[in-house]
Amino acid sequence: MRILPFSDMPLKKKITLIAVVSSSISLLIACFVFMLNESLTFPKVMRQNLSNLAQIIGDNSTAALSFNDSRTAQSLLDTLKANPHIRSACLYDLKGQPFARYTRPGEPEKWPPVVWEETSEFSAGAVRVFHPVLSAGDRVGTLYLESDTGEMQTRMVNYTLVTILVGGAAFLLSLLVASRLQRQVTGPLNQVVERMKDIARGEGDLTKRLEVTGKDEIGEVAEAFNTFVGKLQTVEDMKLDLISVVSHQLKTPVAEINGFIENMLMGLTGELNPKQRSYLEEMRVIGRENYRLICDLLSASKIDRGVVTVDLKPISTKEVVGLAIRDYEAPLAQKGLNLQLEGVWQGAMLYADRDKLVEALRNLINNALKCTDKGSITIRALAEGDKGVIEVEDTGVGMDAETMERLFTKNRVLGKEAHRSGAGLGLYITKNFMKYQNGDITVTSEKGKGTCFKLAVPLFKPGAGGAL
Amino acid sequence: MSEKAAILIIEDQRGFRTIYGDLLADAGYEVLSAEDGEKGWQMSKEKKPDLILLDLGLPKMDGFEVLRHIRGDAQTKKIPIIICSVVEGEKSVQKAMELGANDYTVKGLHAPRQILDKIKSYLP
Repeated sequence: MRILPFSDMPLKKKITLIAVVSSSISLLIACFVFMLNESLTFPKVMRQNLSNLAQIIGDNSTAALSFNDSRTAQSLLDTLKANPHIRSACLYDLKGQPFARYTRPGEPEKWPPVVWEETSEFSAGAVRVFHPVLSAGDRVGTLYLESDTGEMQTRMVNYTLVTILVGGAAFLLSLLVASRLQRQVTGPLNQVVERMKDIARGEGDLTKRLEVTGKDEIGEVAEAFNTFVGKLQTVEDMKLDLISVVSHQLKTPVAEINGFIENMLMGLTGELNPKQRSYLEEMRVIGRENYRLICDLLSASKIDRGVVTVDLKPISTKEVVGLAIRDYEAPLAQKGLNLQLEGVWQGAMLYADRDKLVEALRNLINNALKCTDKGSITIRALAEGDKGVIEVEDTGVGMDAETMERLFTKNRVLGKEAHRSGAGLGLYITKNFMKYQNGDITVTSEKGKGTCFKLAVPLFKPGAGGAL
Repeated sequence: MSEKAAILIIEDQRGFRTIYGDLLADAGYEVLSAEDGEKGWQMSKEKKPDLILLDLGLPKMDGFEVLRHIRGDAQTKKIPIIICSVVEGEKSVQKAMELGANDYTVKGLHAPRQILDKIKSYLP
């Protein structure tokens, strides 16, 4: 595993790390102080213990010393082997001569010269005690005891082991607790980050708000974010409303101009000379394009505002294709393009929204018409599994892979072919319309050879009570 | 019945009244027009036209209301009605068809020829 520098670590790791490191440090300090205390107080305790033992043995040996009974004194010292830490012992008489002696097996038989005062010392791995032996207040001798510090070492080792065990357990526990608690912090924060990313990608739903879980800084971030999204939504709504209002306002005048142009072309204003006719025909084309564009803007704004309603009903491919090609037969003939219909008249039943499917198909025919200068446009109906498919294939300019990738998005710019397309909204609308009908649109194309768009919607299943 | 069939245009946009009026007059029909729903309904009752071109978004009384009145009156309920809508395939057009309209045209999209063909199909 690669270890990231602290600044690059995810927040959840940072928080866990901080919690674990700080709790480990405090635990280590506590252990250190404890051990230090132990190592300072233990020698005192050991000296005290050894002095106590010397007192007991001293008290028991007064009679032996008084009556010069070295055997009793010796057997008394021999009882010391019960304590494995006692290295050696010696009972001195009043002259300072050893009276009885004891050494732990394996220890050198060596005793220090007598010290008359009561002393106890801790040094070089040993504790030594000289204890005056008194009988009814009179001195009768001196007892010397020497003990190793093994007990202390054992205890220190034990303490160290316990410290390591407890420290380890505490470390694991703090890791567990920290990794749980960090979710309280990172959970809401991650939510904010994810939503920000969504919105930055343009996929976020601006009507959704983050849940504000607390009054801390994260709560403030969430609240500020909600306010920000709210403002963004207001701007977005204003934009969509503007498109909608402007389009509605534009629609009627454009329709009226188109009507007047049609009337003039009908000859209602008198005989037209060839120039007038050709001008008016140009205007009719432009007027119809404008009208389509306004309709597209309105459809796209409806999709973006989520106010599209869908009415799924059984409908035959024959009817859909018939309605879709109605207005295109004349322009196709004008361009000298051949319209071929395949499989359409078998009249497979689809389960779709009539107007949306017709609009989708019309958009495809419109595109094919714009992108094809010679050859033919084929509309093919077929069934694929439980889907009814309508294909629109042309022999036009085709597309490269890059163009195809951006085909169904809004604000599409078709590069060099841009002039062949309107606002580029048609396929965005088509894609969405197909989605609303539980259908789909796919495309295959080859630059210079032509393009084939494929609309698929569920086939109608009689008696199934719907297509879903 | 007079030799000329009378067509009532109920339409609030002056432009469309002119466009349809001229088109129908040129095709040899007698043209009547009303600029709001209330007047449209009045004229439908009084003049009993042979066909009505009806817009849906009208002041005073909307197209649906006019439609209900016409279809609800014994004297006018047989008159063919063609809806003039701004958008094809809108739910409002479907609603109008359900209320008893006979057909629809889309303003600014359908060519005059198509509109005339439709009108002819409803007149003897």
